[in-house]
Amino acid sequence: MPNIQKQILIVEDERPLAKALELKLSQAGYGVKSVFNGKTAIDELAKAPADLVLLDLLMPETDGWEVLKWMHGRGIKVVVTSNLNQEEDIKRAKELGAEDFWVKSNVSLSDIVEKITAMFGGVA
Amino acid sequence: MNKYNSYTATLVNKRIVADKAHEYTFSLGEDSLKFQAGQYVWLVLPNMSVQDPRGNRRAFSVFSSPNQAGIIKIASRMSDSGYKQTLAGLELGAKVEIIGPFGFFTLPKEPGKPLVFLAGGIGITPFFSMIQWASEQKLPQQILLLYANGTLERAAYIKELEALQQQNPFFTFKAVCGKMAWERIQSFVTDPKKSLWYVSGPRSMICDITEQLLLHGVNEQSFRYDEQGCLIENGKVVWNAVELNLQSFQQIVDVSIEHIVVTDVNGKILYANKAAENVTGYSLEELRGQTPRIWGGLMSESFYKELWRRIKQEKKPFESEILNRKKDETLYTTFARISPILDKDSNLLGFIGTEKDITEEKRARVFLKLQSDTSSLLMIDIPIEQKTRGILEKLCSDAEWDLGTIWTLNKTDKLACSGLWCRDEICISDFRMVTERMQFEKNMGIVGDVYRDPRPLWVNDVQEEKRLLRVNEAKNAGFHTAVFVPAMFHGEAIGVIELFTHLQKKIDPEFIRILTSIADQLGQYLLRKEREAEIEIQTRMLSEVNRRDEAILGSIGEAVVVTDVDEKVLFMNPSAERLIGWKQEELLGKVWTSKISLQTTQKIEVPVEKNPLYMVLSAVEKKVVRAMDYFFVRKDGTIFPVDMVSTPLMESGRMLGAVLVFRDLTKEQEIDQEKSEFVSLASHQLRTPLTSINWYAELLLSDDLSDKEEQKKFIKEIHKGSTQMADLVDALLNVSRIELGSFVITPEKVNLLRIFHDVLVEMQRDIKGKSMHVIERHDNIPPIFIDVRLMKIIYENLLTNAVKYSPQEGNIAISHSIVRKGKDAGDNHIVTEDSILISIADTGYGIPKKDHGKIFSKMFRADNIRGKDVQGTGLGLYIVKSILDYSGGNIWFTSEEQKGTTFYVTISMNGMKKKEGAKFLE
Repeated sequence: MPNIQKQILIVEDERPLAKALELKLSQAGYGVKSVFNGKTAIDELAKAPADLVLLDLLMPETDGWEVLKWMHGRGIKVVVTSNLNQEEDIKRAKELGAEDFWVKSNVSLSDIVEKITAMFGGVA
Repeated sequence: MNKYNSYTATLVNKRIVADKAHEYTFSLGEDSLKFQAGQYVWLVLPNMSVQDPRGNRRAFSVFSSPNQAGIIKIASRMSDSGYKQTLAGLELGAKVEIIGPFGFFTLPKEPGKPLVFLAGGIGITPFFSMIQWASEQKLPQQILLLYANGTLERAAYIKELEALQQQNPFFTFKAVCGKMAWERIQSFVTDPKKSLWYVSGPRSMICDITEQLLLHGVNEQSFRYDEQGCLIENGKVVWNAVELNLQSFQQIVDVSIEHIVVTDVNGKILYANKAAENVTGYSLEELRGQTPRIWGGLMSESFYKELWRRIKQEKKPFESEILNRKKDETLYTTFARISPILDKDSNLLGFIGTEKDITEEKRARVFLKLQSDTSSLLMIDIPIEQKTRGILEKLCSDAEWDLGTIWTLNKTDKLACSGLWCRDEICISDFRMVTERMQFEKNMGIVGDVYRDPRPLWVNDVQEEKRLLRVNEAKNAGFHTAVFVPAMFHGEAIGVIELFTHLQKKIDPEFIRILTSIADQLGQYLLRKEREAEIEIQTRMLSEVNRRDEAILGSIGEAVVVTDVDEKVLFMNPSAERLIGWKQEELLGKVWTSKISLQTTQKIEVPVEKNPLYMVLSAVEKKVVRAMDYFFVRKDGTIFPVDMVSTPLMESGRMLGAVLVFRDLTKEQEIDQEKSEFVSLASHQLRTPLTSINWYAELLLSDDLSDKEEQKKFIKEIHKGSTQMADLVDALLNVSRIELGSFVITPEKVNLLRIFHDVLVEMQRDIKGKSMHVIERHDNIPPIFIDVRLMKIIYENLLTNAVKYSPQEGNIAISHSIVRKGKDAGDNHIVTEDSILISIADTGYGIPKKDHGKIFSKMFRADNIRGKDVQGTGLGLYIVKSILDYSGGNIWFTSEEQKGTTFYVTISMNGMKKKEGAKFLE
């Protein structure tokens, strides 16, 4: 089902985390690509929009907030995956168009797969 | 003013009662003259038919009875004086003036002693009225009358007296013919001392009898005499019918209370009267042949020169006050008049000097002056010390004392000298010095005695006064008499004035009285001044307090504004000025809330009823109102968050205004912000390795994992995550200890290079793992005082950074060197004392220029290294810098991206500063 495989872009500066996510999501049948900072993410998205962006916030150079602003209004599904857990951060991210806000330390990889599957209407 | 009554009387009868003796009866008309038997009156003849040089009035005893109040009877022996001739020539109905009565002879109040009346001639008149009175009143008074006359023809009232003898059993009458000889008297009076004697008659008779009476032991108090024609009343001689002759003058001179001296042309005393004897204390015998210098001679030479010039050359009287000295050495002042005695050709025969003792008058004058001088001294505006001294000077100089002191209680409640004056010649004595310096308890010494028992004390000779603490000094100073008086105020002593003199003075109650009054005035003045001084000190303290309050308010960081009840600004301190941008003078008197607007966080003007100042000033309950979530709008329109407290300013239940204290919360809010950001960041940093651990553990646990290599990789990630977490927790603990200031610095004398090498050895694995080269270059570093634990943290962090942020095969150059005081340690870092410079240079990624200012901040990691897959807490450099800040060291760096970074650390050769604390850094 290559045609209908959902493409997910992981934007995460912590490489071990990106790797773990990549591994889990590809096992779950998604097309996964990882970038390690905001600038690359924007470049990537400009080339080929993803079905879902998992976006970290605190990153060097261009951070997740910049990316959120860039994506705002472009119709790209984005979920913020960050270890920031302040109310105002969550509120602000949603205002900028984030579908959801997942605090990484609070969600398991399986949780993430489940949530994404649900998001795509039960289709991986 | 005539203190006696004057009456107009009419002559109603005249008759001859004996040879040349006439009796005159005057009627007083409706008036009645009250008199006692034995008194006399003056009879004034209005129209003298024959002139009399001695005037128109004479004294006469009234011999009519006091019971006949409207009648005055007198008797007069005829003579050829103008007065007597005029009297004899009065027609019946003639008017005369009668003045009196004057007392002289009166019957004793108690009829105890028998009376002996000795009358010579017309001298019978006073006795006659007394006997007549005693008989009329039936007084049980024994009276013996011996009545002497030259001839019986001359004896008046014999018949009347005989009749009285018949009538009065207590009255005996004996007529004596010829002179009243003592032998005759003795035959009638057995014991003269038991009787009271009255003598009236010619002077010769009085003199004889007086002499005899004194000779026979009759006390002077027991006899009275009335020299016929010469009445003596109150020491004044009233002359009557006797002609003036030289003898009379001698009598005048003798009885004069003025001191009269007659000298020859050379001043040798020829004669001195009784008064001169009494006053000078020398007898006439002692005076005769001397000059008046014997009692005088105390004035200046020029004075005597002028005196002699005046009386001898000009032959004119000389008058002056003169200071004299009595035989017993006491001084007295006289008013003297010295006149030349000239014959008819103006040849100088001698001098007559009269002196009147005016010592008392003078004293009275001096005292009066003293009182007025001291009063005016108290009133004029001069310093208190000058005033006290001035008064003591007046007391001493006017009243002849040598030294005066005022003693008052000092601050330690002891008596101490608060003013002293003394004559120049006394100043050198140690008495003055001791007096000025000594202080003693209230109950000590003579001064203490007078203070405790406030009564004046006169000491005739202080040299004998054991109570005087300064008795030895007083002896040395030669003082004799002293007086001590308390200065009183409302019945309590507040000080003591003392005066000393080298003279031996007799007690002088009048002076004591005046001194007491001056002492009281001075004491009250001093007390008032002391109170004024106290008040002044209090006032000064108050204003000091005000100034201090203002200074305090001015210097405190909190802004303070004081308003009245109408919110009008009364005071603003500099902090308030700084915060709101208005100057005090711009807002004084202005309504605070009209000038300074208050906003909510939503930038909306706070309604007036929510304004804390308004709330306090309008609230029924006077309480403090605090607000922390408003903003003040500055003069320039900018705002700042404010914490304000409004407090009512109350005085005895009345509201005077309000005090507004406020501070800018900007900084605090920034710090709060920073803190919450740090917490959020720290939590984020902790969650990252935690996520790593969670997720890799999950991957490991999942069934579809069989690749051993992959498992190992996952476990490695988990290990990495947990190490990172442990490092982070340690670093966070250190940060907390640094920020709380609770970490300890305990320097000990160690070899710095050995510590460095220990750390380097621990790092060998990482260095080798990246194939890096370490280049060392160290000067000879002597042992210094270093906290080993902290020094290791510094080395570990700097070396770890050099390793972590360098690519493979990079170089690390480390050096230790000594930099002398004042020299540049590199990059313009001049050291202020001899220091050790540590430099750690790498050939790593370097720090981007934009991040140079942030690398010592907490949780900061430069962007260029965050993507390098190297772990870091972002706390290491912050911790290093904090340690160096606390221990007196310094750190800085130079860096260029892609070329490398060099960190420099300096530590004083004196070592790290010791710091007390509860915790170690890990």
